[in-house]
Amino acid sequence: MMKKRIIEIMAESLKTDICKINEATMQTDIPNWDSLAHLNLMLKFEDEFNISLEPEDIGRMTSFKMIYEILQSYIDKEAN
Amino acid sequence: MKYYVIRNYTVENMFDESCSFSLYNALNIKEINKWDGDAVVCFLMYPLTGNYKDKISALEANIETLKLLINSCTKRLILLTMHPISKSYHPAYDFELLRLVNNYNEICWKAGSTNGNVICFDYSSFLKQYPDSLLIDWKHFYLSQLGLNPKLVRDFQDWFSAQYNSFLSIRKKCLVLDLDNTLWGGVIGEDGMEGIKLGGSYPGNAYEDMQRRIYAAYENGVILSLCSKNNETDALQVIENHPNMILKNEHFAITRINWNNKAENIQDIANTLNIGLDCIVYIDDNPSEREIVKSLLPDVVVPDFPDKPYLLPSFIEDILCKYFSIYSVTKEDINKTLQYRQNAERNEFKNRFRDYNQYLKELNMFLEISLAKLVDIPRIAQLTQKTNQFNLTTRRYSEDDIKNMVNNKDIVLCARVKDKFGDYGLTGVCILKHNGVDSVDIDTLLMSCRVIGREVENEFIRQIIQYLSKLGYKHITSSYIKTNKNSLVESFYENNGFNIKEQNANCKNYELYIDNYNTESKNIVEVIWDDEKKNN
Repeated sequence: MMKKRIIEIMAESLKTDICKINEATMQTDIPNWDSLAHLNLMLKFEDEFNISLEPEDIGRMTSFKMIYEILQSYIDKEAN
Repeated sequence: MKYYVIRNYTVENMFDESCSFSLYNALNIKEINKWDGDAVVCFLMYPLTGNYKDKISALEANIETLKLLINSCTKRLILLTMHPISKSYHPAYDFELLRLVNNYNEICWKAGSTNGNVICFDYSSFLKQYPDSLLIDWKHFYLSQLGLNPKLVRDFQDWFSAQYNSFLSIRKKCLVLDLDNTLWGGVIGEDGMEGIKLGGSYPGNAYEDMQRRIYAAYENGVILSLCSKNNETDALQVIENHPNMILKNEHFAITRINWNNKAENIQDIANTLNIGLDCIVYIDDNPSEREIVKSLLPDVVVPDFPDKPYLLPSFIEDILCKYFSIYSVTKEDINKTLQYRQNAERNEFKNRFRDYNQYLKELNMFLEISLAKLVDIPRIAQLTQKTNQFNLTTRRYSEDDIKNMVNNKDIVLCARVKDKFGDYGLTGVCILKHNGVDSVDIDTLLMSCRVIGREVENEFIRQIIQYLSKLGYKHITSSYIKTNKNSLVESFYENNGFNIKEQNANCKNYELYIDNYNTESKNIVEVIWDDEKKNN
């Protein structure tokens, strides 16, 4: 559920066809994923999941895998 | 809407994708006037970095940018007012900062009210709806230079389009006026010339004052018409002969003084002037006449009329503000203004060009060039990784790569840039590799988009060439490798004296014999060299 939503947000923010994004996607695979797109992506995650990402994490969220892990950790923190 | 936005912070997330954005704090008039879109938006925000001295100098530079833009932009221009955000600990500093912000905003308002091409939107009044603490998200500011808290972006977009739409829809051209109890007090048919109230003491003075304001609107291009149920000769006699009558027959494009239905008369006025009914505002003291017009001609604006004469001057002022603000001139007027301007521009092109260089000089730009030191290496690698726009070859390097180059006797130069807006630090890199005995290749040349567009990049390459000449080199090769992002620099080397050696769709190779290089410096950027031997 959450993975699906992340992929949707990535496709939208990175202006990339959703079928080109999967759990193995990295920043280097997506030509549109530049710094501005990265900013938009992070703003969208903050808005969608109602969290505030730390700069260090924003810097590390450069693949689906890292995005998923980091978002999950924020959401877990919220829950506790 | 397609806008070109002149900005000093990141605002890309506030506008839609079709918009173009200036480089940070850069003003390229030629590019703006060539650009094809709906309007140019000047969106310089209150400076957010540095101490009060830094802010004062940034604000002074912002004011210069604004003035230059107003004087030379030939497109429709939307100016956003500036809103002071932070407070310093010293009231006198605050006062000085506030004075500069007010100065900036005053220029915006003045241009908006006197120049048919310029509209002023009060961004400050938008921000005032929120507490200061909500305006900036400092995390995103220091990460990406976001000028507005992303949480307010959606509100901003709604506000901005509402401003623009109201500007577009409320453009009226013609003010249709009744006479009795509207332009003067009393009824001419009953009270006679001597009996009507116009001028002198109350209530005549209120009617006269209202007429003076309408006259000013006439002078600014609002079309006036009369529509009154009267004997035409009685009415015209007052208009021509009453000593306190400000509005004369010649000020009215059309007069319909008769006993016909007012809706018919207004329709007739619209037809004769060849304007839409939605361009008409109708002023009449008589509620039943107003009702008839409203119901038969729903497109005509029919404001309620004040019931006391002393409210008339402020009433008409409100109407003029709301429906006839100066930027609401017709399309033909805008074109005329444009033509006048373009002619003036051609005649004064030389002057303006000198002004632009003068303006750039006043930004006090400093370019400090040095050989890469060990501490610089992480930043250099980062710039090769991140820079997309001003990057001639877009070769990405790791820290180790750069370290090897420095140890390999490749020449790695760093540029540090500073100006009135602030100190940008290490923002330019040039990597030179040996090609032969007296020849080098420019492997990498890049600058951060925060500093380009203001001659710094041209001075940088000039300095590199001079430096190589001093070291005894005779020949330089270089290339432009096309990516999706770097069209900005596709002609950079040509523009700086290099010759194209070979070229295909994705790549251009250049060379330059240093002896043939004679591009003079424009002396806009002050240069400091620090070329002591490395290894420290």
